[in-house]
Amino acid sequence: MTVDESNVILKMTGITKRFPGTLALDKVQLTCERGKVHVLLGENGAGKSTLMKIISGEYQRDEGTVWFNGREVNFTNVRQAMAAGISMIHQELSLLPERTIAQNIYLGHEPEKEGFKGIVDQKKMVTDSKALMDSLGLDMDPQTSVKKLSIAQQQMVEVVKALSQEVRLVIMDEPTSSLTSREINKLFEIVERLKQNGTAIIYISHRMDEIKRIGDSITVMRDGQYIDTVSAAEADLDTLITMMVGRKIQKMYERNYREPGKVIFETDNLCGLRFRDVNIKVREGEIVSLSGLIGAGRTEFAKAVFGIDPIDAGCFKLYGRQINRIDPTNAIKYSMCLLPEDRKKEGLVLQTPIKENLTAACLKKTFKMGILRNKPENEIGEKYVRELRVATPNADKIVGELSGGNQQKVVIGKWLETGCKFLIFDEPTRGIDVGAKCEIYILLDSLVHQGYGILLITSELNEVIGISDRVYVMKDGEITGELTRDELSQDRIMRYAVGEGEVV
Amino acid sequence: MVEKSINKNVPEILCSINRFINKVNIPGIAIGDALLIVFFSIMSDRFLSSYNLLSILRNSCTLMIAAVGLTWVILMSQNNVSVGAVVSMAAVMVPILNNKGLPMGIVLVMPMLMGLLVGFINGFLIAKMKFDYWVVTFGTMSLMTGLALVVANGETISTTSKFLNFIGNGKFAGIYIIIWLTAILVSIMLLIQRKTKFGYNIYSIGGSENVAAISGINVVDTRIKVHMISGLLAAIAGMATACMNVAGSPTVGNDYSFNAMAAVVLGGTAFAGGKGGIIGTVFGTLMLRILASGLSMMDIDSTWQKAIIGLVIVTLIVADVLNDQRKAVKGSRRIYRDVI
Amino acid sequence: MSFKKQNSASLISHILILLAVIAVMAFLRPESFWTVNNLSTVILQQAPYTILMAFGMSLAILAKGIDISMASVMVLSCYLSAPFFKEGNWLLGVLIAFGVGIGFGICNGLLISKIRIEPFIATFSVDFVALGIAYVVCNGKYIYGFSNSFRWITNGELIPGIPNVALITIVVFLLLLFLTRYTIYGRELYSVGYNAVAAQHSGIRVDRMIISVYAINGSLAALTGILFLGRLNAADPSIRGTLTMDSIASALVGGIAFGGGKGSVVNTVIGALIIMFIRNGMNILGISTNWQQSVVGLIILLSTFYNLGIENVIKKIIALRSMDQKQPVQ
Repeated sequence: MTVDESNVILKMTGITKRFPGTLALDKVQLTCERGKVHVLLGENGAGKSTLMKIISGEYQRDEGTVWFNGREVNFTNVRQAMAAGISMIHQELSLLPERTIAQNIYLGHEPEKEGFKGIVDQKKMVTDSKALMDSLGLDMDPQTSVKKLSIAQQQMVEVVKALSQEVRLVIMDEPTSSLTSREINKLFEIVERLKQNGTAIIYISHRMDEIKRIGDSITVMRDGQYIDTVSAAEADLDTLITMMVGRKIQKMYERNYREPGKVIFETDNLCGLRFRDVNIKVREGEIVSLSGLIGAGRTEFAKAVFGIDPIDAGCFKLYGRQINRIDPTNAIKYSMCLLPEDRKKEGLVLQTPIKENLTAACLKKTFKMGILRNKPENEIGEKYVRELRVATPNADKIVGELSGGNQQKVVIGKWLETGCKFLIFDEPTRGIDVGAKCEIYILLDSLVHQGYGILLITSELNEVIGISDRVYVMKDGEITGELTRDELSQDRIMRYAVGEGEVV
Repeated sequence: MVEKSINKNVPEILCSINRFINKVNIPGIAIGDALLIVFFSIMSDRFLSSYNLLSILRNSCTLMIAAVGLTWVILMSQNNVSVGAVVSMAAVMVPILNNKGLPMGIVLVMPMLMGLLVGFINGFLIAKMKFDYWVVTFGTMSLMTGLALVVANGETISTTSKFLNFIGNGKFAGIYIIIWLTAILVSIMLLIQRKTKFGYNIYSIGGSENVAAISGINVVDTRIKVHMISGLLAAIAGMATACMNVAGSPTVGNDYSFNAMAAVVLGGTAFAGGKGGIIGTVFGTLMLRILASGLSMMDIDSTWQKAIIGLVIVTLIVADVLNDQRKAVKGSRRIYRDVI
Repeated sequence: MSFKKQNSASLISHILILLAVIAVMAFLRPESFWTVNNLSTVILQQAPYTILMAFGMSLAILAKGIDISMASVMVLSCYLSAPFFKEGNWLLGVLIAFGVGIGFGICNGLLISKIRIEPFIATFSVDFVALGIAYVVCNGKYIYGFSNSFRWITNGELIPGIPNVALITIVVFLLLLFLTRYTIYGRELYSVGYNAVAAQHSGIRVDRMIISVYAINGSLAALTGILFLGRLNAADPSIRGTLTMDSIASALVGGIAFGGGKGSVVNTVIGALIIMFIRNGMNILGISTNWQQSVVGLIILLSTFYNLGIENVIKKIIALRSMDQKQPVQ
């Protein structure tokens, strides 16, 4: 597509960024124009966030050039990028709950009293933030503390914060993921106003309807590489998805469905930290997905069931055993396991070898009478390296040196070795490359045929539709819908996930 | 620490004690002080006299100065155990330098420079080199404790100086000079905390270092400065003890680290950082000193006093941590209810 | 690079330091330092107490904690049990000493695991309380004059030439080495130290592990206390001395990294010997104990640097060598 050169505010070419063990960005390019919304599209782990962090000064690039506002720039910290007029709305909230709205809006760039350097003008800060919020159509008292706001309101404060200084480029990283439709409309009004003022916007989102609605041009990224830039008006959905995923979706997800067996897991009005009255069941030989927006309470549910978080009320049945209180040790004993959301923090001991991680959940197998035997440990190590095709010369390699996909395989191997038959997988494919994803899907399918029952929590709708037998949708901690395989569609899931009345 | 569910059967009493303190916030700890005064007045008829109250105030000064400096470090969710060692070092430096016949200006400036230097070493190693703050401040603590013993040769060093004696024991308008000086120092610190960008940044970093960094705050600089201020105030506290005794002992600061930490926590500044402040610490310090004075008025042995105060402090620290956890859980639930 | 090589690199670098310390002293004062008498006194009679305490400190650091309270718990436990040892009621004495030690250890563990107070603050507070109680109980009085048969536990020579205290330390060392290296307990300890969250997700009972570590520390403190009684023939709160500092310094200098999971009890022994030889050397050179305290403080500070620096260099050398060995195969 054509670009008006005089109007370009940001031009990035040949951006390369390496992290230990991985190439996060490989010669990526991006061009943004004043007064236009540029959508950045790609799966999780495609490198979008890394690219944005390079623009906003959080990371430094290894190679490539960045032109901003007509000059070549090299931001080494966030302050420099901010001074140049770049601000970012982060996906995870970056507010201080103990401080007031006004203090949060002007965090790091509080207005100073005239003639007194370093002295904060508190009055001006309050009136300014009030004026700013009024101009954006938000009605909030700037002196209430942020912890009293709902998540949606906090997200809006985040937006105000990004606009509280002179901006030329605003980066929005999935800003609508926790907003209701009313607030989404408000946000789009703000975006429209910014466009009229000549501000450039980089917009990251997964929601195709949004992209069509506000986007001017679209850049697609995949596995750290630049794929293409197209005009939003001309782009059609299927080509975009194919560009994102790199192949036809049907081929990625292969399932041989079987008749499910008896119920192995059933909850009875389970309530916990951020979910309540959950009633779901999983049968032998089926993959059940728990779908919903980020922050809907799915991970909290999984953690409560596995015994990491407390159960407030209700109970669940596991292989006929009634359970009211549980801890991870007993959960494993009762044949349940949880593949955690954050494999580096929760799933693996990164500094130790593969074989020690594989045996971590069933130490009794390698410690006869409590004393280490090397032979069974090595055998288990070799077995899973071979069977799960972990890319490593041997099982003595330290897990931290493996790539994301191979690390995930080690976590899966750890649970398979315990012999647990009911598996909860929380985001098993987050941040891993497409090849490893396919292998994991094939593995899931074969496990189901061996009689395992799987509860899958994933944020990628394609995945949900591709490999599930049944789907529960969670919204704000409650199950809002159940869909069978025949009823599955992106639209239906989103309808339940956002709340039926609010679908635009 | 371990990410784990909070045990439901944590002692409810501990939580309610702390909730009470936190609910009424700054007045809360002040009310606690007042209640203690009433209690001890009933228990001992010698307690409630203007002389005794004034001496409580006077005895609070040195600890208050050191604790106020430590408050900001804890506000930034870090800690500093070298406070006591710096107090000792400054306390022996004053008489030694004075005995050498150096001009008073140098006698007063050198200990402050020493405090700033130790603070800088702490801050540099912690903020810039990313070393663990416990190890670093424990290291400087050992270093300075030893050096204080070395320069004083293990003995209390006395000196003669009308000026030092005047500062330590003189009165102005019926109130000890040292109390005036402490009041001025605390007021300055309070202004910085409330009114300046620097003060705002301390709260922001304590709330979340990551958020502060992506909001463009220079975290490393701020941390180093705060550690330097903590060192400086510890040194001033040491100088104050030297003035009050017109002598310096190399072990005078031994309990200061623990007591200062206790004063800060009593005052409502949580170890988690991000909330609380200097006012609370002022009342926290007063509480410790009222307790000590009251116990001695009740003819309780000084070793017992130490043990009782220690137990009170530990109880309050436990209560503080417990209450923080409660709040964290409640916070996450509250948001969930709002959305629904 | 493989896991084992990393650990051996760290160990080699620390042994080199120990040898360097000894070499420097032997060069400076050959006549008084480099004698069988002096060396054996340091290793067999002075070092064991520091080593025993440093073992506890190392276990705590390996489990991502620290134990400031050990020295005060030691003082309290030996103070409370001393009257019974003096009377000759040994069983009761041992029970009380270990009861106090383990009791305070469990208290530490509960504060850290269940209430989740930072280890430093928790053990710092317990240290304060234990020492306070010790002063109250002591009330200015010394307990001294123990029977020779009691003192034999420390000073006797079951094996000629090796005092019992050294023998006990060797036994404890072997037990701990076995425990940390070849048992489930050891594997779980390291997992908790590296990543407590992942350990919990793997079904390891993290709370119990932490409590048990501090309970072991308490019993080590009690053991050290009993042995100390035999050596000094007197009990008073000042025997706490610089043991806390020395044991932290030993663990850190030996290569037990603050923050958990790295190093083993072998490192602790080497670290403690480094500290003891430095102290011995300074004594011979006529440097006052006050200076020694500053020097140990400085060593704690430097060890954090050095754990990052020298070790990496030696790791690189080993990595190069293993590459050389591989080349002919290709």
